[in-house]
Amino acid sequence: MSTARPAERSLLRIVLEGARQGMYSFFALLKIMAPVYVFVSLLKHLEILGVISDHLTPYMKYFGLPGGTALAIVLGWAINIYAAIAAFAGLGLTARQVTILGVMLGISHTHFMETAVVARMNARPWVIFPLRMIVGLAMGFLLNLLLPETL
Amino acid sequence: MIDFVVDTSLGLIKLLGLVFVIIMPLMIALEVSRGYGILERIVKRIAPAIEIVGFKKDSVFPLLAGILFGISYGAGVLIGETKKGRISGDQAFLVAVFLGLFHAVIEDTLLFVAQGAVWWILVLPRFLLAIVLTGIAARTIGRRPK
Repeated sequence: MSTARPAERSLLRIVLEGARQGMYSFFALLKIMAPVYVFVSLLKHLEILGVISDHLTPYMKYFGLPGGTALAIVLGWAINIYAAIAAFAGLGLTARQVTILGVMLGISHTHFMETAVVARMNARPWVIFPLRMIVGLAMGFLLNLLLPETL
Repeated sequence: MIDFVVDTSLGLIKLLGLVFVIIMPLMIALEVSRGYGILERIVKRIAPAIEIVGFKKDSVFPLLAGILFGISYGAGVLIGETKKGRISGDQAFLVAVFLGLFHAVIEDTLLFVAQGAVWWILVLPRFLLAIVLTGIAARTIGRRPK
C-alpha cells in the first residue's frame, strides 16, 4: 500500500482539529445566516410576499398550476420549502401538480439565505441566484409540456 | 411587534442549533477520514467521474455534505477548506453551481413525496441538470484568461 496513516497525530488531536474547524465554519455561517434570518422573518411578518404573489397568480397556468400556488412559490423562493408546503397543502393539488411544484421549488428556494451563503463561499452569487431562478421556472414550464395528464 | 421578536429569536436559536449539531460532526468526520487516509481512498475511486464534470478531489466532501444536508452545510465545510487553501475560488463556484441545483435532496424529496409527488421526477432532472450545467460552467471559466 502507499502512504500509511500519519502516526504522529493521535485520534484525539485529529478530533480536536476537526472541532476547531467546525467552530470556525459554524461562526462563519452564524455571521451570515443570523442577519438574513431576521430580514426574512421581517418580510414574513409584514406580509409583503402575499402582495407579490397576487401579481404572479395569472402566470401559474404556464406551469400547469392553479393560481393559488403563486403564494407557495413566492414563500418557497423567499423563505423555505416548509413555508411553501404549508401554503399549498390545503389546495387539493394533483400528483402532477405537486411534482411540478417540487421540481421548481427543489431547484429554486430559500434564495435570501442561500444566496448569502454562496456569497460567503466567494462563489459568484450574482450567477448562482439568476441561474437557479431561470432553471427552476424553465423546468416547471418544460415539465408541464412533457408530463402526461395523470401521473 | 412582540410576536415578531419572539418568533424570530426562537426560530434563529433553533436554526443555529441545528447548524451547530450538523456542522460539528461533519467537520470532525472530515478531519478523521483525512487523518486516516479514508477520504483519499474513496476519492481516488470516484475521481475520474468527478473530474469530467470539472471538480477537484478536495471538493468531494463539501459536495457530499451539501447533497445530503443542504447547501449551507456544504458551504460550511467548504468555507473551512477555503481557509486552509485547499479549495480555489473557481472550485467554490463549481460546487455552488452543482449544489445550487441539487442539494438537501433527501429532505426536499421526502417533503414533496409526502404531498403526492413522484420521487424520481423530483430527483433525476435536478441531478442531470446539475451535472450538465456544472460541466458547462467548468469549461466556460476554464477558457477565461486569468
